[in-house]
Parts: sequence; structure tokens; C-alpha cells
Amino acid sequence: MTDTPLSEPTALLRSPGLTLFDGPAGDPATLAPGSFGVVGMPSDWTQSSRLGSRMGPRALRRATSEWVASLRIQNEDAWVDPQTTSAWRLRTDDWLLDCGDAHIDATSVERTTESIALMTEAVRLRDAIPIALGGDHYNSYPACLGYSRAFEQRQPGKRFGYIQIDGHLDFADKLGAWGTHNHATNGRRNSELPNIARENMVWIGITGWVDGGELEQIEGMGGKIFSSGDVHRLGATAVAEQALAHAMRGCDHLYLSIDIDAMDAGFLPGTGSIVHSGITPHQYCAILDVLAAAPIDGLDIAELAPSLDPSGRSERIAAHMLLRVLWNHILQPA
Amino acid sequence: MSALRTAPLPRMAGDLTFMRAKRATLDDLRADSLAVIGIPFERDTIAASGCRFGPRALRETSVYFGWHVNAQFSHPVDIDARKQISTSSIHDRLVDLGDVAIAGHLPPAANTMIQSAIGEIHACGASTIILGGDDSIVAPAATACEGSLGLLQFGGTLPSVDKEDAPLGQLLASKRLRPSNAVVVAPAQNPDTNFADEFENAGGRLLTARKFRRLPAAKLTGLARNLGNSVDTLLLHFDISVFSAALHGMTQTPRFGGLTIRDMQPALTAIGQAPVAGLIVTGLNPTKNGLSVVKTGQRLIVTALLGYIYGRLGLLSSLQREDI
Repeated sequence: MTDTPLSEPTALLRSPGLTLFDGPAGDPATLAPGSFGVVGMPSDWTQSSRLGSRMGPRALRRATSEWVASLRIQNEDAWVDPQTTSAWRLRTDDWLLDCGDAHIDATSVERTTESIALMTEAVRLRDAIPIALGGDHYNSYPACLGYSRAFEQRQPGKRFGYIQIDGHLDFADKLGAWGTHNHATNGRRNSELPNIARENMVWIGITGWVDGGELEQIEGMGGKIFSSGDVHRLGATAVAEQALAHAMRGCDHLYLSIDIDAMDAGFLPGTGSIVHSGITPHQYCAILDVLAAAPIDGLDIAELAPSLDPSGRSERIAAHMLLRVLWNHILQPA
Repeated sequence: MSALRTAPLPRMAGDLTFMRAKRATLDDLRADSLAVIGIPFERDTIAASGCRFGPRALRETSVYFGWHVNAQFSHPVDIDARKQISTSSIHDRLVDLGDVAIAGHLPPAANTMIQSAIGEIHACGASTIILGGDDSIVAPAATACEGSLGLLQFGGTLPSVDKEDAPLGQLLASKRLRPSNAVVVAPAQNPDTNFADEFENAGGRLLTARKFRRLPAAKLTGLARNLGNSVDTLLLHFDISVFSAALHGMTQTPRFGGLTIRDMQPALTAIGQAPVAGLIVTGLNPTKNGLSVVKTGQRLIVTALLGYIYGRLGLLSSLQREDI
């Protein structure tokens, strides 16, 4: 199932950046209940714009591991949050297991889809929470598909809520030459999953001009859209709280899809489909801070294209997004 | 529906025209045409070499917004204004004439070629979107227009001591433009005090980015309309330096504190409803990396131009500037 050889070198010789948050690597079958299982999705063959997000999983692993390494070097014991003055330390138990990358077949979107879905399903069936690393945003669909299959087995008859932070709706039925399965259709394909609460689906950060038909369909099915303009006007925290309330109506579980391109390109240029007037890093963090307390048990982050930002800023911002949404799991009170 | 409209193309495929507009010749122009023409020319071949690649870069970026030829996505809605916009008349009226064949020419021959090309388009009654090029194309393009001239300049340089080192200075010095018919918004640098005093005392208007943001849409439309009605030809000069360099980094001199797309798109939508004869885009240097390697500058320009095109074609009256 995994494409990347992940050995278990000694702690001393371990190469930082091989795994997310420099965590342990292993097979999904060894995941502890309640932990997080990382699934890499290094594919951008379903992106119609600038390529490069196939290198996203590696960059996220590198950037999160750099952060962990910096904490270890600077703070042997505990670390103080300057905003709250609370003391924290990195969790030392196996809260996370990096399961490597799904097998990607550039010639077959169907095989790539199944490969990713198998891994996120396997993670969730262990009562662990999949963190799927894109890749272009199409890969959110196979990640959510696997989550949905496991959800049906674990909670038959129940439905889950869904929030997508994104500069774009990704709700097209098909996109020109790319057909029905690509980075403009993942939201639509997710909405067709049998146990997603369609009327609870929420988008945050949509920017600019969108297709009228897609907008009508989303609002017609009861979904809710918060534009980046809404975030600027209402405030990020208020928008996130309203979004969460909408998504969780009658649901106990939430799937979160993070497309980093919702952030304004002035801050984050390393992505395939940039937007202007998008949400700022501060706003993005405020949104994720609210969602960090939500019952998320499936998560993907997509569209980081490190080759488009040689400065490394975009991957560090994306890593920080993961940090914010996983804050309560990565750290524990000292 | 023409054959073109049935085939949504991958972005890198197909004939490269602005926003996938129909390719046209002067003979195809009508009085209600909005004609795109590239002037891949730059005067400064030392410090800021690269602006001559601007027209091609802008066309490449604009393809992303070629919705009117995409049957699957032909009715965009502004997500904040919740306004549906018909694109049919874009397909009928927006045309791409290609580039002025100016490569290898130097002034004054180059200026003559620009004047001739722009003059011929305006003689057809069509309005133009001119893709530069550096700002040396502005004066010859303006000279090609008939009658009294009005100029709305966004960003760009201002005259200094000799008053002829910027397009505005050249037009004022040659008496082609009266100061009272000129409005400058968010210039790229602070004005020379002598020039500013002289310009404003003669009726010209200098608006800083901060002042400009305070103008409501109705007042801005009124200002452009009044100016347009008081002259024979109203031109809009849109230099990339109007945007804060923090958003793109694609100009020779970084400029901070400029406008954002949330300022510019509604502004151009409002101004587009005035009788603007031509819009001249200058200053984009696509050979510069900008923010990392992503060409955010050209995307900023094209996104802002969308507002102008939709406003000019009467498809959009407002992007709710007051709410921003």
C-alpha cells in the first residue's frame, strides 16, 4: 500500500522531515485508537493550473519536522505560549503515526482514488483519525471517500458534517478536458457521498467570481458559503463559529478539508490556483483555532506546491495551519 | 452558440487571445467593440528590461477568465455581491487585435507606429484596452486620440524637475493635456512639491491611496463621467505600481502602501461605466519573479481589468465598493 520505504532508523540517526511532525512511521494496522494516521497523497495529475503540489506531502513533513526540531533544540523541557503564558510540552506518546504515501498512478485517476481511499479507510477503521496530505485538492475526494466508507461501517445510518476552507467552490460536475474527477470537482464528489450531511456542507474563504450554477446548487441543498469578504466583514472567529454550528446540525462528526489557496496570494504564493483578497494568515489561524475544538475525525490539507515558492514561506505557513488545528493533540500541558 | 463556445479548452491550449476573445482585424471593429491590442515595447532597456513581455503574460493569465467561451461556466456570480453576470456580450464585443509589430523599433519610429495603430482603432469608434509595455507607450497612444484629452492615471510615475520624464509630464508640456483634465490616483512615489503645487493650482487632482479609498463608488463614477463628458477623449492609465508591492513584487521599485484588488476592481467597474475611450496597462515586468515564482502581478492586473470590462460592457453596475 505504501510507496515510500519507511524504515525505523535509530532516534539518533533519524532524518528530520521524513514524517509529519517528525513522528513515528508505520503501518496503519498498528495505529492506536484515537491517534492520527498520516496518509500522503503526492499527486497533482488532477490539477489544471500550475503543477507542483505532488511535492506537497514531502514539504509538509519537512516543515512540520523543522518546527518540532526547533522546539526540541530551544526548549528541552517545556515551552511557554507567549499569548497565554501557559507551559506546554510535546507529547511523547504515539499520538500520530505516519503511514507513508498512497500509491499514485499518474495514468489512472480511478486507481489513485482507490489507493488513497483504502488508506484513509484503514486508518479510520482503527478508530484513528486520518490526516491526508495533498497533492492537489482533488485528492480530498478519495481521502473523504475512504473516511466515508469507514464511517458507514463504524456508524451505520449516521451522517457526518463537512467544512471546506478554500478560495474556490470546487463544486463543478466536470471541468472541460479534465472531466469529472479533478481539483474543480472534489467538493461536488464529496457531496455525493451517501453519508455526508449535504445540507450541512460549509465553505469558508471563497473569493471572487464563482459559477452561478454551482452557487445555486449549494445553497439549494442547504449548504452555506462564507466568502473571504464575509471573513473580512464579520471576523474570522464569528465566521468559523457560524460555520461549525451549521456543519454540526444533527451530526457528531466532522470532516475538514483545508485548501491552503484560500489564503491571499500576497502571503502564500506557493499554490496552484492563487486568489487575491483572500483571507490573511491571522484570519486563517483564527478559523482553525475554532475548528480545533470541533469533533474532527477526518482531515485533509491540499494544494501546497513548494516549487512555486522557493523561499519556503508557503510550506511553513501550511505547516502552521496543521499545527493550529492539531494544537490540542501535538502538545500537552507541562 | 458558435463552435468556439462549445469547447472549454485546457488553459495552455488554443489560440492565445485576451480572455479567449475572438481574434479580429480593424475591419471587424464596430463602434461598440472593446478592442484589446498589445504594445510589447519598452524604452528602458537597462534597469527594468522585461516589460515588453507584458502583453503575452497578461494574455496567458487572462485565459483563466475566459468564461464566456466555456459553456460549463458561462455565468459567473460575484460571491460577495451575489450578482449573476451574463457573459454573452463579452463574446460578441470583446476582440483581440494582436500586437503592434513594434519589435526592433526605437522612438520616434516606434511612437509613430503606436500613434498610427491606436488612431486607426479609435477611428472605428471602438474603445481600446492597450496591454503594455512600459509607460513610454502612454504619450504616443494619447497623442493618437482626437480632440481634447482627459486622463485618469492609477499608479505610475509623476513628472519631476524637467517635467518630461513621465507620460503625464510629456502630455502637459506638449499642451496635449490640460491639468484640469487630469486625475492621478496613488502614484508610485511622492510628488515633487513644485509639480504638485503647480498641477493642483491649475485644476489637476492628486489623490493618495488613502484619499482614494474614502471616495464612494457614486462619487468616483461621477468624477469619471464628468471628466469624460468634458473632453473629447478620456483615457485611463493603469500602471501596476498602483498595487502595493507586497502583493506582487513585480516592478522595478517596490512600493508599499498602494491599493489592493479590493480597491481596484470596484473602482474600475465604476469608471468603466464612464465614456472611457481607452485603458492603457503598463509596468508589468513578467521576467521578474515577483512573490517567489508565482506571477501574482499579472493576476492582480487581469482581475482588476475584469471589473473594467464588465463595467464597460454594461454587464455590471457595482461591486459594492461602499461595503468594502
